[in-house]
Amino acid sequence: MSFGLKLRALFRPRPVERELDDELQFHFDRQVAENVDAGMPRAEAERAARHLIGGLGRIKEECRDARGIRWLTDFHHDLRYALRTFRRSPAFALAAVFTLAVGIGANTTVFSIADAVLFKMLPLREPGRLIQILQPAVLTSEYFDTFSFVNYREMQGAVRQYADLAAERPPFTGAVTMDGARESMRRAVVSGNYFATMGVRPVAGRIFEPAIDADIGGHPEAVISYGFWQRRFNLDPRAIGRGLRIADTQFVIVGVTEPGFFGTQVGSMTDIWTPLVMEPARRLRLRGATFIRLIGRLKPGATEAQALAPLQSWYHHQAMDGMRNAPPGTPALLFEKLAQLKLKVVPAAKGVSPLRKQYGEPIQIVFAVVAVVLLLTCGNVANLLLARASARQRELAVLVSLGAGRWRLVRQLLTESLLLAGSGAVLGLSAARWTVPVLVAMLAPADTPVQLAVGLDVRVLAFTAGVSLLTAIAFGLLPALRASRVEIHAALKSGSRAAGRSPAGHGRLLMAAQVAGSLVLLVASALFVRTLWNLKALDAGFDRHHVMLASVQFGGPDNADRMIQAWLELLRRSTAIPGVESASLAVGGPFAGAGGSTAIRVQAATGPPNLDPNWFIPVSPNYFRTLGTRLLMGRDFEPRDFAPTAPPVAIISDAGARRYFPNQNPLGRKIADFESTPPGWTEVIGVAPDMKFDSLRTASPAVLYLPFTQGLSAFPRVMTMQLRAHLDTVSLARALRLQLAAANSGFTLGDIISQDKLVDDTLIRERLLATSGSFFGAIALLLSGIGVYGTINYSVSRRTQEIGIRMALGARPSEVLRMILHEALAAVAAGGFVGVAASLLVTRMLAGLLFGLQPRDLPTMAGAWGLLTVASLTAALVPAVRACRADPLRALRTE
Amino acid sequence: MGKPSDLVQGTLDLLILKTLLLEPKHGWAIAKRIQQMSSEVLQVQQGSLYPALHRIEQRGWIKAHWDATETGRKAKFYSLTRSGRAQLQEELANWNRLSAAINSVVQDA
Repeated sequence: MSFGLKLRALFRPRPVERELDDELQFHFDRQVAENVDAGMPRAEAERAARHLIGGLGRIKEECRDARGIRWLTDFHHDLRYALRTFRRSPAFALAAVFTLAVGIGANTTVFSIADAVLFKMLPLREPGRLIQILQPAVLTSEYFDTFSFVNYREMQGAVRQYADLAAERPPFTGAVTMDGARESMRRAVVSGNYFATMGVRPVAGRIFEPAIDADIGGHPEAVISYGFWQRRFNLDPRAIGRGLRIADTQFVIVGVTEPGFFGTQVGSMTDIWTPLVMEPARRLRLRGATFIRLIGRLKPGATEAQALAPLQSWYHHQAMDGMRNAPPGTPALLFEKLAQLKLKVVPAAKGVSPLRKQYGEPIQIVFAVVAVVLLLTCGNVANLLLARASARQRELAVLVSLGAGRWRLVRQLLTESLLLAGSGAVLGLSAARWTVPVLVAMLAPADTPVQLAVGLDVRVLAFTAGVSLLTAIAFGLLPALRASRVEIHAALKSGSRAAGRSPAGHGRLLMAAQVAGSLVLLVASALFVRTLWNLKALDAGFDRHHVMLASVQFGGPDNADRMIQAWLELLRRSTAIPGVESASLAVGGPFAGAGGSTAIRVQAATGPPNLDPNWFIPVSPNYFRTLGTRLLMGRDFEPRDFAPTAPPVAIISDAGARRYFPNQNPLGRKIADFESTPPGWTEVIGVAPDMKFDSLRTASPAVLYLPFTQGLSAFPRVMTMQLRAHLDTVSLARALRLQLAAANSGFTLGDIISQDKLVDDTLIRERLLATSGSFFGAIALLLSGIGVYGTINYSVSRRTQEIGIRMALGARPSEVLRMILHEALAAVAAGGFVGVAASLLVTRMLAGLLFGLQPRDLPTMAGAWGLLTVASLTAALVPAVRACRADPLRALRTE
Repeated sequence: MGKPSDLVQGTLDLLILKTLLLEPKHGWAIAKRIQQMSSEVLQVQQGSLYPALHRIEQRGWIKAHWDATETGRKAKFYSLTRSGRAQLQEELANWNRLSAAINSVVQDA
């Protein structure tokens, strides 16, 4: 195979052609010379030679064929031809390209995001060897991914033979002071071997060393990301050596990671890494302080099972230790559960992603939605092409008579479709620059945006190319096959009646299919929208409006009494702020986490103990009033319950009352948690109403409220203040800061957020589905409306003569109208039936995402069907009315 | 008189390669040589010759260069490549095997 020749023929066709001409000419001349030598006169010699040689054109064709690049030159030729035909009918081309851009662009957008969140592996060396360790919750079947630093060091040693284990405190946005100014940076705290284990190299300076993990507090160094280096320092090498202050410690930047590395959490891009050993020593030494994730890399040849074995035996050891130190009276059931607990080693090639867990399913659904939209656009463009095909019959007939075979015609028409799809794809891709950030923004609340590495990489481009190709075939094949069935005589005669069967059959089928597809989309999006409404309107058990939550940290000395007094004093001052109706403190709260969870035992209870977890929330007085609820039974906490010598009291939620005291009066009964030795019997003094806790969808859990001074809470240093106020965040923050300063007890104010927003942030998935659903539902409605309009318009234009005759023979406009609409109605009705059936199937799969309604919600389906029918009939009405208003004489005269 | 277009395509290739074994020739000369060597039995037409030449060139068995003929006119000369020589040997062997087989069938003993 000579590629050199092929390339030459491709890129320098004219010299190659000229050479062929010269070569054949030479042969001809020699033949003539031979004939002349044989005695023939010149003219006859030439004639004989020409006759002998035969058709030069065909010889040249065969030589060209022999070069083996025929298909490419033909394709090139077809493209130029296609461009010419589109230039002649720009309106059609623009309409088709634009429609395709919408369909293909939407798919590209969703794919780039789906790829980044669901499919792409971390941009690291051999990501398939990365693993993460998970530990089971004691009382539920969930798995947690956090461990303590003490755990980490022990586990790192245990698994040393099979894997390198590193640790990371999940990235968070925190304040860093640089050059005197406070800046907000995305920071992650990692072990010394983190970068080495992940396989990240520094592009300037150096990275952390594994040895630093043995030296608590001794390494105030920081590594920044390439992106941060670029944004903040403009790639200035003097960034290395710069100092910055975090909390009260001065750090030095020692290195920059290679470009492309954003950490191990998908959806977050870390700017700066600091060592774990620089975290508060207290936290590092406490076995129970679980705050770091364990990720590692399997050693060459090791398997996950091999790595799990030593870790599991370590874990079992820990469980046994815990059981040995358990308080007497702990039920054997708990021991059984503890003994069965198993760690999990999971692959981490795609990084850690809370984003994936949350949005995996919704993104897949949005993907399906845009796929349907693409099919609808294919339908519309196919319709356009079918209509155009019969208008081009004459042109195609000429081509056939010039010698083009049917297959050649089909190739030409498919090339046109490919050109349309390709242009649509290019347009859609360039629009993706705007649409992708919009969709990413919908994935997270505005203040903690998702940072995804999305871009037009090879995978996205390959996907777009593939989709364009499939789309071109989908909408182009049928019209091409139909159009190429040219009957020359009928077409070349001057008559408007196109040859062949009426294309109205295909058009009606397409119309029905589009109606069906749009119906499914409309039903789905209506269900999503209603779900969102239901959730937003749901009674969460408390009044979530006008409540602000402020995070406050106590910075004073570790004296319990003084801290309690300081908190209570702060509360008094905050309540006094003008505009604040009521204030309280709590560790956690609805949608804000809890102080912890524990199993409860009841004094003098009959029957087996209930080991289900119970959240507990340490609170201050006035908690329930601030949240806008009232106790169902008993009394609220009073200041006397917060005195150091006060007897322990608790308020249980209604769910807890039902669980531990079914059909009994809980007031006055004594409860304690399983872990306290001896049991700290606490009297139940009240029953609080159920409140939604971490999700609007799940039932309210059992919650235990305790005075924050009581045992279980261990004197919290960080609490959330609830403020019921009619003030905006800024003024409230200002007022609070004043009070904090005035209290002079070393309090610092953290974030302030409204309870409303906190709840809304849990509805992001539903909002994503509702927004994209309604957006694409509207597009689908528009597309099918256009489809109906196009089909009816075309069908009417073909029947102008027939209509003219009917009207001339006395048919009334209304009868003509009915005749035209009848056709549309039949197709719409058929499409509607199929659509309803398909919706029933599809929505059953969506049941898990809905709330407050059944997937087979009849009003929704009926509504969607009604809307679609009205829209379709309106779309059909326009050309129909125009037809029957036409002047019969003019209609008759139309060719 | 059998026209070479009736022959199997590969046979024409074989003829062309053989003709070029000794020295490079242009298309006209190749046709004339075949005609001559077959005592006027085989007359290769331009319509089959040139597509075959371009095809063989594509396969890399012959290469072309433009040169002046004895009359001073420029023409496209073809010459055998090394893989062409090898191909020629292989085709000759095949041809001998084939013709021997056909002979033993049609020559009734």
